[in-house]
Amino acid sequence: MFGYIKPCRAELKVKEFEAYRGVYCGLCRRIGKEYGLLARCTLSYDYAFLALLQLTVQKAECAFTACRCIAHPTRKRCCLKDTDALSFTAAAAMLMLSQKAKDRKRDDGIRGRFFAGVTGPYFRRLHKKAAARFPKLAEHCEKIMPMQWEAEAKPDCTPDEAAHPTADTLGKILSELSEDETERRILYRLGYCMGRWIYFMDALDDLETDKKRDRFNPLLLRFGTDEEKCRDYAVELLHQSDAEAAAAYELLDAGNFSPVLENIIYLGMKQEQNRLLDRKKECRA
Amino acid sequence: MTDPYQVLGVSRDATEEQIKEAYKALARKYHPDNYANSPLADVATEKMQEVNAAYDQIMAERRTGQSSAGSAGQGYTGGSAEYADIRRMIQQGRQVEAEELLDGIPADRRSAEWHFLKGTIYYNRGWLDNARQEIGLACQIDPNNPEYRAALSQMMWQRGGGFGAPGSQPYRAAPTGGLNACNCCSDLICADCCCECMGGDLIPCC
Repeated sequence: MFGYIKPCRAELKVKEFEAYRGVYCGLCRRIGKEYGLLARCTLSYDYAFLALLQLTVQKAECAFTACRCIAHPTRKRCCLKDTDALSFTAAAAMLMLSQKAKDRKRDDGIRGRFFAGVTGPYFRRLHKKAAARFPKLAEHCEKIMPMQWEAEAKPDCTPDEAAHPTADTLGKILSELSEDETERRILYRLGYCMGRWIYFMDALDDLETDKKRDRFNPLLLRFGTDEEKCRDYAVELLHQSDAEAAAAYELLDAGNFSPVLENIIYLGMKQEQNRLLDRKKECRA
Repeated sequence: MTDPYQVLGVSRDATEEQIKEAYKALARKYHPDNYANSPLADVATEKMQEVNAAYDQIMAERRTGQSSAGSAGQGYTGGSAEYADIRRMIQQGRQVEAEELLDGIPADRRSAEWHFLKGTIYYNRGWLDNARQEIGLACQIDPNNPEYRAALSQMMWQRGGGFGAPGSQPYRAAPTGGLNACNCCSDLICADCCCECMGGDLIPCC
């Protein structure tokens, strides 16, 4: 995942923001403990969302402490006390990371391939470690890239087909958070729609580079080189995915972190979308 | 059974006003219009029934003999006999079989309903864009069908940035209006102008 899923900070209460940062902090520490210092540096905001969702769905007990870390050595910060619940999210982060590295190896030029070759063994080790702990999760994640390549190889690949591997994988990851059949269905739909949203955000973000390097992009495939049309259509797709994700989210039971989750789904994702569009506009101007 | 107060998310000593407020918010959240055609419609209906039951129970406890029920969801019915089986399959969650049957119908016999059902299957799978195209086609062929129009307008509403059913107040939206330091003076001046139109005066000095 790519770090698009963030809260809209201005609309968070201070206590909610502290809780969000605390969970992020706790997750970062957990990854450090299980996968080493280097792996900690790869953590993105998306997984803080996954951790919050997990703590909410599993109704986990949460305690916070004040602690220091390497990234912020001067001041003590609020941090979630280490709990085994975070192991799942940590594994998901590592598994998705190694999949993304696999994709980069194919996509980028010589430099990218060199980088992938150097880092490959390291990512493979992370993958093996995480897969040993959560074999089912690894099974879901391993399918994502072959599915993606297959979809991209089709000459008439629609945006839906292109987004399906990411969306489906995220849906499956989220549905692993619960044992209850109904809850699993809700979580799958939530994950599916959020995965779609992430995929289209990435497609929109990469629109210009993909065009320049002649890489696969579902929007370019649909609209040719008319960037304006691509952008407008992407916005519609993003809105619709977000609205469907929100509808699914509302069916989950509320918990202590609900205000933060709601903020992310209703405001944060829209904000991120607008930021991306603004950034594009600035680039053109 | 679970505690009805917990279902509504209010404390036991909440006032009637607060309970009604909480009930209304939840009813808006789980309203069947928000989940029309959704694969999670059954879950939403269940939640709605839970909320209704909880509200009824509290009200009955507080005022013996009196209870009020909220509106329960009612799915759309209709459509022709040809597609009745396929519709039933979709409702039962047998998407793959339903799609196989649909795809078996030759292209020249594909009616508006065919496109609508195909769109519904796409929608349930999460292929929201293909779903929009199929349902748009259904509306083009049969522009007067309320079922197709309702589905399309919800999709267009969402694609325009809305949440839930078309025209609904967003259940949780960014606060845009309201009184704050920026607009309170202009609001007062507006109010003053209105008063003056009617012959009164709110702020005597302007």
